[in-house]
Amino acid sequence: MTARVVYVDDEAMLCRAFRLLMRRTSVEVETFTDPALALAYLCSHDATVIFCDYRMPRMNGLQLLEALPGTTPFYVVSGDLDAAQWVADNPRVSGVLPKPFLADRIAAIVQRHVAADN
Amino acid sequence: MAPDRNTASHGFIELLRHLPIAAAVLDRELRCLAHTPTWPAAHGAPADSDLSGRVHLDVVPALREGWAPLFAACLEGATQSRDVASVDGDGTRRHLRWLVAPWRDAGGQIAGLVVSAEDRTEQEQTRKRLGEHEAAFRDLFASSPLGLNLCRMDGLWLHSNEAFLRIIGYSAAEADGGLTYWQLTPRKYDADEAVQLETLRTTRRYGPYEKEFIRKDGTLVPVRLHGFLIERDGEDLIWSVIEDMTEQRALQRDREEQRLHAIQASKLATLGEMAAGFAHEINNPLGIVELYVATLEDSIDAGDMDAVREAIHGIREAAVRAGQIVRGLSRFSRRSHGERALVDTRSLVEEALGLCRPRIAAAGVTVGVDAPRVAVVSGDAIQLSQVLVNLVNNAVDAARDTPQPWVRVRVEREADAPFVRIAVEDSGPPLPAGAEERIFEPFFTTKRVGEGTGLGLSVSRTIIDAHDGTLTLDRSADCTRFVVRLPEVQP
Repeated sequence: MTARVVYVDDEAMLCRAFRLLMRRTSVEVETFTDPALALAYLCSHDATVIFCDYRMPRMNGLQLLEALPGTTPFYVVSGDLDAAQWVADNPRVSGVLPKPFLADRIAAIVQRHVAADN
Repeated sequence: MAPDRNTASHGFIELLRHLPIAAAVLDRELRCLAHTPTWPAAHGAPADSDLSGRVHLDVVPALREGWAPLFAACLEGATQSRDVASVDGDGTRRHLRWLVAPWRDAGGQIAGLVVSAEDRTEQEQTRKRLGEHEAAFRDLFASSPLGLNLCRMDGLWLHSNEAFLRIIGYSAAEADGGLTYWQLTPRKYDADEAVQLETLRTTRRYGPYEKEFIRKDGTLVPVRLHGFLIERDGEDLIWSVIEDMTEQRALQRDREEQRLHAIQASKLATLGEMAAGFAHEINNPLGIVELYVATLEDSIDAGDMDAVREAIHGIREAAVRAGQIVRGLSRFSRRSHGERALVDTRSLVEEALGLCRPRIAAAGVTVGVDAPRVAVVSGDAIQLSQVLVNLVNNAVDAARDTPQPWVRVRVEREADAPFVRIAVEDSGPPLPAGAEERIFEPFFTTKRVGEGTGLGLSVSRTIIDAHDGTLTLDRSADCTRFVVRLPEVQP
């Protein structure tokens, strides 16, 4: 399976930045500003790692996680420091990244999981 | 035919009987020939006694010493009068003016005296009362804490009291008869003066009239005048009451300053609450810039110019976004003084919603705006924006825990009156019955401790009142609805 990274964030600017970040990797990138669309996609497609914004209208990051099938590594990206602690405590969450995220950290995480799959 | 002596005498005696004054005709021995009905009582004799034939000085022996010389002089031809005060049997003071004059017989010889009394009691009492009134008036005039002033129609001051002299800083010697109203009135009041003069001419009164006088030291003192015309010796004179408004003005200024302080304090409190949201808002574009910069280095190394261009575009976009946020914030934070300008209500709503965006996003509330047409009001955009931010924040807080949280902002122009309505509605629970007025009181809040200061609505109402508008809770709607109503201005 080709490595595929999914990024979910209601901020289109961040989706575009994420995509550019992944440009020179061989990883396939899918970004979604609507978590409902992201859910629909993930129910029919595999992903190597998922990054998801916590605060989104209508469905937050954890709600999306609860609805997902499978055990894909799921990283919550959050600008909300209050939420960070108890989100990190959730066993299905692989990690919490502050927002805006650092390019190096994203790259490192993607590389690790891609390597693990192979 | 001349009346005969008997008829004349008889008529004369009848005349005497009807005269209201006390009078008598005496012969050279001062024997009473005839007298009027009130003559006996004037001398302390019983009222209905007949003193004809009696010698006057025998009737009233007490007169002998004081009056004998006077009678003697009149018998020689003099006419004299003398004022006498006495006390009646019932205690009233009576003032009589006695007139003693000789009368001559047919041969021209002095045949006796006519003695008459003019009752001047009433005149004396009036004079006394007048004197008392004058004294009372003088006291009032001197001690009145309000300035009092009498002046001629041409403005020359005739009579000023202490308080007035203190207001203008001149002495009585300098002011009365020496200064005119016009000398101490700044030219800028010329138009107002003309209006007051006209009012005075037509209604005989003027005021309340607020103006300033130029004091002796050159400073201006704010005053309020009331006055009326009186006539004295055929000439119109003006009485004025002058109030020193210095203290009132200072109080007004203080109140206004306090109002602005309260508005600013409330705004800073709101900003404090919104601070975390703003930090988050600004962090995003900054973080995006950092991301793009990271990709730039790799793209340049790889010679990927498309990626470079996209990164630059992204950085510019993020920088613009950050700039907008900072500008909006600093504009909102500025201390405003209520300066008026034309304000487009739709832009006002957009700006307010922009400032509330972090809170809206954090609460997961959907906001809808309904502002179809241009509607312009006159006001201080920063203050009005503060009101809208307050209303939207309240609405978002109320809606956040409802299953389908929404907030709606509507701008409408009233159909039959020149007013603009900005309504903020939310899906939150209705406010308790009877709370319509309490919610606008300072420090009243339905929020939990630590959430909100409770100042927002009361300050918002102060701001809208100062803009000649109203801020009310509209109970006729089926959701919580606050309405700001402002006079519309044609741009």
